[in-house]
Amino acid sequence: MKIAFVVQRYGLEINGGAELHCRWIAEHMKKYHEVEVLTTKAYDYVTWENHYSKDEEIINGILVKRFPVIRPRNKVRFGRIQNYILENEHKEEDELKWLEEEGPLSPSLIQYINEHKDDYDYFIFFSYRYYHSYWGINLIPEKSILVPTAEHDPVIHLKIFKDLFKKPCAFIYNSVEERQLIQSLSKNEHILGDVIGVGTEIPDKISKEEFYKKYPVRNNYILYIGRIDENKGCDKLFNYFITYKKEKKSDIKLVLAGTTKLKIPKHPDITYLGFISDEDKFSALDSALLLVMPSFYESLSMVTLEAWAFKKPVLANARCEVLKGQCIRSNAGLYYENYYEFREALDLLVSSPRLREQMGKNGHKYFMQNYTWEIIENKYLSILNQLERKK
Amino acid sequence: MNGEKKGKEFIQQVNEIKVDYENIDVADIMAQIKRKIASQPKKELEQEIDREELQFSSGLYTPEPSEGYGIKLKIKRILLKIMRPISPLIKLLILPVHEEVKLNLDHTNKRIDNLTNQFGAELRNLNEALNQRIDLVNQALNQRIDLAFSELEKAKEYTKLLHNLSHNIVVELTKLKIEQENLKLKVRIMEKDFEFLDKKEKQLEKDAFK
Repeated sequence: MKIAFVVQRYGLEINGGAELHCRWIAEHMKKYHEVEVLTTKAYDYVTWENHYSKDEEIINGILVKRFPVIRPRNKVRFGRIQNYILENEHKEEDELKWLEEEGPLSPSLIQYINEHKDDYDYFIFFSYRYYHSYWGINLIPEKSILVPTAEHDPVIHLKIFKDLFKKPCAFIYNSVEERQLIQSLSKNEHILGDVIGVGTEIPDKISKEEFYKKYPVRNNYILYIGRIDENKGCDKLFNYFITYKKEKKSDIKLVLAGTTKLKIPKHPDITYLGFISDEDKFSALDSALLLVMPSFYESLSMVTLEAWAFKKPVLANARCEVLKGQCIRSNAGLYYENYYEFREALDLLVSSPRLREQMGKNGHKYFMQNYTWEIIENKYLSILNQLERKK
Repeated sequence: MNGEKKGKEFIQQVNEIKVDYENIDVADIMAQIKRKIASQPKKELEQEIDREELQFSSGLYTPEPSEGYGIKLKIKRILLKIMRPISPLIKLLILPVHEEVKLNLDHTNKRIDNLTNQFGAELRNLNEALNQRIDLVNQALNQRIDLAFSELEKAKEYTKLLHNLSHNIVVELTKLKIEQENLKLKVRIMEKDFEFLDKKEKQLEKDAFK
């Protein structure tokens, strides 16, 4: 079977989101089927400017075909049209115009899919909201599998997406909440689908000493890993943490790791490590008291799963239904809706090593039951087998 | 005083988060945290936090600018300096009052819910104490009533006996009276008989000596 993974960006440099999710799945599925990746030449997820020069390259044994973005995103124009369609009555053409402005505008990618649709058995599209997924699925619905990576984002209510969700031949959801959201919006329960998510590779050995040598952090900290961005709720996290420190006599620290688009406040108890390698990330996780996940919108937080794999509890933003749902299902994390809940939950977790240990164990159990690569691979294979049987 | 003590105990109970470590239930822990928060009044500092939170959500928050971000930042810094004296007024005009009201209402609702719970718990405690006392009084009263009833029963039996006795006495006395009357009558007849015999004797004596 030949499978094409279609995603907005692809590369070893991209260390999070649907793009990393896609890369990991593609790399694991190549054991079973012939796999190719169809993507754009963009690296920046805001502008989509062409970054990669090669049309084709092999990344970790997978052929990656890149197509140019013909026009980078104009932030002002995009913002204006997004506001218009979210706040006013509008036509379907306006939504399609918005989709074009959002990008990554790569008609040659869609043209390639159209011309080579018979060369592939299935196309697995990642992220419902981008140009490639909408036009790609509309071209070949009978061969499309969608990994929506949907969140409670206002644009999900656009009419074009309600229609889109009825078209693929199968869905691969990241969480129960995501499936509920999409099914309630488009009534597509009849379409084959499963909640699968993504696995993670946990290294056998971690060298804390190396990590301690490199970075000025020790044990007593809570950790945030990911894009440091307002969209990820980091501004609120800073505000809450600084207020917590003002209020409580605690020597706890906040350690941040990842690329930043936000100014990090200067505070003696906030340490920014910058972008760190996977080994350092796991060392940081292993030494942390807990992982804090302030994001409002997540279809699946990979770093949360990694924390659970490392037997670490999580403190998550309750406004993100997926994170809240996972905390409740796993009994491995607390959540907060406002500062008071943040303070109380953090206090409880920090003051009780037994609670952290027990929640960590619960998290590890939840991870082992749902997110090991063996389970993920089997679920993907099962979807493909079911589709084959239907043919 | 007792109510105040009980109220304090209740608050202490709410403030203590109980965790079953063998069987962790996150939803239950979060419900306890929510109850704990609702039991606490908003302090001034916390109201300050709400305001900061609102400023964040409304995009009014302006973190201290850092160095080395180019000409845009310099312009921004100058603009901020110019605006600083009137910034409270701007914030007052732009701040989404409805958001603040919503936030306050939310906390007020939670407090009302908590006070209702507290009041309910107090009421239940009072009810329980009152019921216990009523039960005790009831028990004592029942004992005394039982005692009184048994005494009354005794008295009733005694009265019955007395009544029978007096009835029998009356019957006996009546019999005796009748007997006495009969005897009296017999005595009178016998007297008359004696008188007649006496008269007869005297007549016979007269006749004999004649």
